[in-house]
Amino acid sequence: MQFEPIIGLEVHCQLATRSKLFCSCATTFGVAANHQVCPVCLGMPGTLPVINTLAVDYAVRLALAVGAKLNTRSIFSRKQYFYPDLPKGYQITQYDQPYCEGGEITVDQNTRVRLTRIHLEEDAGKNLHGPDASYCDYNRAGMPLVEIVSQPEIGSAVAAADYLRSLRSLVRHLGISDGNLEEGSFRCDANVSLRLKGTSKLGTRCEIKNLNSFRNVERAINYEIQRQGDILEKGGKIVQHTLLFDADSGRTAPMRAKEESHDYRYMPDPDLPPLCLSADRIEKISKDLPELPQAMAARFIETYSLPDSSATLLTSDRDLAAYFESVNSKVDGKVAAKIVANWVIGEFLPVATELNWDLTKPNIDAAHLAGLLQLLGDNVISSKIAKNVFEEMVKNGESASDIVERLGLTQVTDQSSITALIDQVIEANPDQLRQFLSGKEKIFGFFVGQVMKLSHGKMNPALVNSILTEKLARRRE
Amino acid sequence: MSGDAAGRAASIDSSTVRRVAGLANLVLTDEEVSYYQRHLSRILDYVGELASIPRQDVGEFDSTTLAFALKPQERLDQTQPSLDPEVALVNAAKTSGTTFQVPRIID
Amino acid sequence: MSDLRPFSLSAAEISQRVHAGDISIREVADFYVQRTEAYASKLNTHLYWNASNIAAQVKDQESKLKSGLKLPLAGVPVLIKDNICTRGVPTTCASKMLENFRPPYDAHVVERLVAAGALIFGKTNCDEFAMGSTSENSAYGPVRNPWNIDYVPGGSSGGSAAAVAADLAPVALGTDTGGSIRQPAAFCGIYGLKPTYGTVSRYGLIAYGSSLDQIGPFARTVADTALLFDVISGHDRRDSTSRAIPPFQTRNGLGTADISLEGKRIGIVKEFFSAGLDEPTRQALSKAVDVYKDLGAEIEEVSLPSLKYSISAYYLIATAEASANLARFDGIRYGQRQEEAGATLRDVYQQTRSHGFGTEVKQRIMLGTFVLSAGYYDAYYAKATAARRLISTEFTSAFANVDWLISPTSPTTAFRLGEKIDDPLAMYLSDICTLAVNLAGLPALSVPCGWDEKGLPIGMQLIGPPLSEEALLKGALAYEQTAKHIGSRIPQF
Repeated sequence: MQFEPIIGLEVHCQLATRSKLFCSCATTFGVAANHQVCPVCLGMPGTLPVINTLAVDYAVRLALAVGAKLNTRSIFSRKQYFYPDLPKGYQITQYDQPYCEGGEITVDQNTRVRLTRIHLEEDAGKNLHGPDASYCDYNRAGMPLVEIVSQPEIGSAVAAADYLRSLRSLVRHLGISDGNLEEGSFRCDANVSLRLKGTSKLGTRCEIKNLNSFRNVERAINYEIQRQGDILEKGGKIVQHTLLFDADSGRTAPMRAKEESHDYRYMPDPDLPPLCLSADRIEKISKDLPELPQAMAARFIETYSLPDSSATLLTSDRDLAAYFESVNSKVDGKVAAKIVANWVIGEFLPVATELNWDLTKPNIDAAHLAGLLQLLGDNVISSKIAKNVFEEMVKNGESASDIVERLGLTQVTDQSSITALIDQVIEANPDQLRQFLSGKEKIFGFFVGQVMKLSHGKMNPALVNSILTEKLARRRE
Repeated sequence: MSGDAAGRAASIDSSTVRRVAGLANLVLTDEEVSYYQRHLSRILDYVGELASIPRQDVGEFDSTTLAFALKPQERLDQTQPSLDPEVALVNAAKTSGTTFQVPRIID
Repeated sequence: MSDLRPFSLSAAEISQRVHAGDISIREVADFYVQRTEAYASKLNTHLYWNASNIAAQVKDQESKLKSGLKLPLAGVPVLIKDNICTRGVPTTCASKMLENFRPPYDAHVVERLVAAGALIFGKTNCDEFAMGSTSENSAYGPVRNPWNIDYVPGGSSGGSAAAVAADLAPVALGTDTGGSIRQPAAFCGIYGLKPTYGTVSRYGLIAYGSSLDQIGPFARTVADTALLFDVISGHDRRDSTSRAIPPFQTRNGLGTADISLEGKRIGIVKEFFSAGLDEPTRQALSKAVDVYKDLGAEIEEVSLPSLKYSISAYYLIATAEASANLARFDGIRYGQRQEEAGATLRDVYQQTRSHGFGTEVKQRIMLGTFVLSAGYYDAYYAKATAARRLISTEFTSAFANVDWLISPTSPTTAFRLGEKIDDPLAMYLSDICTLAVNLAGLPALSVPCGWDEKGLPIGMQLIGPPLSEEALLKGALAYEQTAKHIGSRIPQF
């Protein structure tokens, strides 16, 4: 039997507003338990919700960016169930009339994943567990969320992770969320089922909840595909479960011993009038939409002649893309944009990531990096030396030119001194010379190495190369 | 058995009463089940008259079926000071530090 | 010194005399403290009141007065139904569930009253969570009607109504979801106004039926009803269903009200007059209609056939909303909690709720849960909403031809304590005249218009189009100035 995996993803993405969705409590992460609550988000009797206008704007922004169909009139519903993290005994969400439907996420030029819908809802609080009791913290209760539901049309764990990366990049690009999986502002649930190849009937699906890293998303989905496949191969049936992924064992397991199916008793929330989106409002948000990642990547490929992979990587983060463009414009053509990209990706980004720099004001700002690259472009330093200079810049924040001067790293381009050193090296290594002349071409590299060593890397590699080649060629005659 | 799709109301039976009580997290004695079954049945029989009303489009349903429409209201994204945690917890029967305590939840 | 006598003071008069320096806020407070001490227990109108709390308020209001602030309710004692939150003071909804609940905030209406100079004189008894028509569903004993203490005062705002009728305070606030201000006003022989939905903020009102609830005033004069309504009305940003309008100024309109009703068209709602009226009620209403005729109004019969669905629509919508509104009472964040050793989370939920809620509340929660549950939504809740729309539309059409509608507030006068408590459906059916008004969100005023042969009061209901409170009050004033009921008898208790 041939089965193919069918995966649908639900993402709960926290909107980066200053206040919660229905009350004016702050939304700061990491605050001590119940220090960011009020009668409304605690669900105290007599309190009422009032919606945050910026959260609505952010939600509209997202809908426009994915090309969803906006419903000019939508309503909020109460989803009822009892759980300690749900202070009112119901969650305010959108059920049968969400604010938008459809749309799609562009993963890359060949891959698009369609969305079923997106809706607004409030987050629940957090339950912490001790050995003898559990504890409720409502700081997170009432935070604004958009729930983004993909169609069940993703075909592999890798594709799922790619979709999530693209979605995350998009929400960060739009400035509506920081998309932080570790802090819980971007939470993924995966619905996995297997379908007999060539048929259209979907199999029973299981939902894996709260996957907290892209890697775990892949691992969990792969495990689940395998698990379900094994059962079906043996002629068994899949039981619908809600599952959790255990990162240590790499396995999925059902959430509760006994699965309770919920009757959520949805009803329109009488405390909130319908959400009405005027044409003016939509138009204004549409006009203010930032350049989207795909468009930006295409532009980078076209304008800067960057390869696909570099463009995608740079545009995966709006601030990184801005940094690159800033450096590139300051470099003003002294090195090719490609080289700038390589430096931003290969040297700057790893350091910035490790040292946790804020990309809007990193320790090595665009002017500084541009300064370094200009020296490179002017042949003042070689590429290898440039890397050393960069390391120094990271350490003490000096400008490139200051470091080059201080350490005397200016490249030697004067041909007579290069020639003199080369002659010296050749004289000092008669064995290697004999080997080279007898046909061992690789010894060339040895001579280059010696010249570099004795000159502390300061001699222009291109000149060393050409002069050495010439000298050795003459020896042959 | 209880009302079918056409809304022809019939009595509510005791197992339904128990199921509904469970959904609402209420525990009922047998006597209470019997009491509520009797009274809820009478009420549901009475409200069966609604069956004769033609159903309207789903799109029409919302909470504001008043004689006038409620206008949407939104709030600017500004913060106000939150409650002091002591105040937030002052009415709780069982607390631990600044959290509300419940019996251990098994997930 | 004090010439203060029972049943002789109105809120308007108190405020005016306090401002004039004629009497002090302290004197007013002392007078009503004495009334409360003497009678509140007997009538069981109060769930909370505290003399030193009142004394502290007296001081506050006196210094505000001294600083020259204009206070429309200067020194006026106001009682608050116990489902309205008052900061730091127990707010129980007459339920065991909230026995010691002290909200950390005031309801919007309470803030307004205090800003206007009022003294929050206590919290009144009612049906538990406002669910009931007699105030017998209280966990703290029933309220008694001052006109005959073996009779119910009506509900759910029976405590507030009885207290005002007995002059334990000149005015009080109640809440009305299906008639819970108007019907007790009628049973107690006073005025009760249910405002247009959205004109009085629900912030701080512990919700029962969110799309139906409104807070409104009880008073013994039209002028006081208007005064209180003006103070509590107007937009509140904390309530998304609150209309974006400034506070009303009906009081101003009343001063210049002329008695003649020439040109006014009044509709008699046919469906309300066939609903099993008792004879005294029928006669009193007939006489009242004659008064309006004599004042020049045109009377015509109006038929609203969809009204026959009111009870069904109301009890399905209100209980559905209530079942969700009361889901938050689980013992974890506030309210009483039942937890035995070794209890699981579900045990805590179930024991707390089963122990904390009374019979009628549980019944309505279950009814509401049932109608929203899987497979039943369309047959019940959706149909009820459709019925609601029909009713609203019919009212709107009627108001194209008449200025206001008249009906009895209740088909009968008050009945004996215990008489209907074992028959919830019969109880629901007695609300026939008031429920439709909440379904449509309209304003309605109960006006005392006589007594039956037992000496129990009769009320008539004036219903107007949205935001027509001033017209209704004027209509009531015209009637009162002609018929001269108020003050012609006082209850003996």
